[in-house]
Amino acid sequence: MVAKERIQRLFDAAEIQVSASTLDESAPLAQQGLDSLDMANLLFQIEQACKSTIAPEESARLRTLGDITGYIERAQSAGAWHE
Amino acid sequence: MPRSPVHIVDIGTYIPPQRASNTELGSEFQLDSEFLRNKIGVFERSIKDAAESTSDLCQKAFEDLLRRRSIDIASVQLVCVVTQNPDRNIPHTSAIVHQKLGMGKQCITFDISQGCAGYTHGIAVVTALVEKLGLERALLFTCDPYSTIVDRNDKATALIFGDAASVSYICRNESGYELIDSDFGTVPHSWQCLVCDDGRFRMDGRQVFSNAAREVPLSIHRLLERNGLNADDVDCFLLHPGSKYIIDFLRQNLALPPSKVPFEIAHYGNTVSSSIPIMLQQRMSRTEKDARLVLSGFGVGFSWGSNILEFKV
Repeated sequence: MVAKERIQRLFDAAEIQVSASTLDESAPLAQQGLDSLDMANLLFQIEQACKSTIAPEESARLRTLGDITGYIERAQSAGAWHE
Repeated sequence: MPRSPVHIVDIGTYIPPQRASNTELGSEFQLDSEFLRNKIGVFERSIKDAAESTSDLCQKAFEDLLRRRSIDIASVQLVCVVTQNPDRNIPHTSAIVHQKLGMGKQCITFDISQGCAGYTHGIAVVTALVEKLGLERALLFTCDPYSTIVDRNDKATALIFGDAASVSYICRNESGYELIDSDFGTVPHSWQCLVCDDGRFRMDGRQVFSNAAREVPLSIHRLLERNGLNADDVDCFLLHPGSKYIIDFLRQNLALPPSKVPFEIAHYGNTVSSSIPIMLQQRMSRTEKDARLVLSGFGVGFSWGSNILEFKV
């Protein structure tokens, strides 16, 4: 399970002015106040924490908070999360 | 007897006077004014006349250079045009510029195919050739009129790019900026983030941001460290202004004050390979010159190039 605090730290690092705890897990982030540059920065912060790059086809699938939580969980399981 | 060092001694620029406003187009894309102001940072874009070619814009940049200083065009021995939007596939645009400027026979002409890192590559290539071949005078042009390839309906690119051209006069025996060192690179498997197929430009903004955010700070740190410098030793960082958002990100990442990282494209847009020389020209026109500059361009490829320049009398 990915703690909300971890998600919020990624939001803070990306300077996203939205509280992660208020977001609907299953709705697209683009419909909840995050613009394309916020999303780009958020995925970059995840890349930094994973010390790897997210492929374009993979990034296209990371649209909701649930998608991102799932990605982080998989990275943690694979021992690829270095935050 | 050793020859005197090679310097960038002056720069001419041309930004077409016609503007396209982002206000209306932004509304069509349902983007508010705050996004335009704080994230894109471009209110209007310079647009060339539809009939104007890349070589025409280069010629106008050269006319601006001539207003700043006298140049014996027959004595120029090298012309390089940095562009990915040439007049035509064959010949190289520098040969067309050579003809339009009425240049002499003993003159090397070649183009460099590079994007937003083009000026940083051009400085290194031209300076190296001038030094190695013992030349005296060279002209380095940049011109990439993206208005010909950007799709007005593409939200990712329609609000960013403007048209412009620049020409840098590079020679010996005059005061100017000397290239001290450079750092270049290309991210493997990344070229698809910026492509133009069938005359239509496309950008994967997420990939471009990620590559720039990761590689540009590393490049600048590498360059400074290799030369025994830190950020305090540099007067100004001329970073390619892809958007206000990326400049703000890089400035914060490099822990630099806003005064050291200009963003001045609000009224003409991201002019690709011309963006850095336009900023450099502004600073070269001042009486008090910055003693040391760092330039960093990044984009198509995904490639980057960073230079350290020092003003030498």
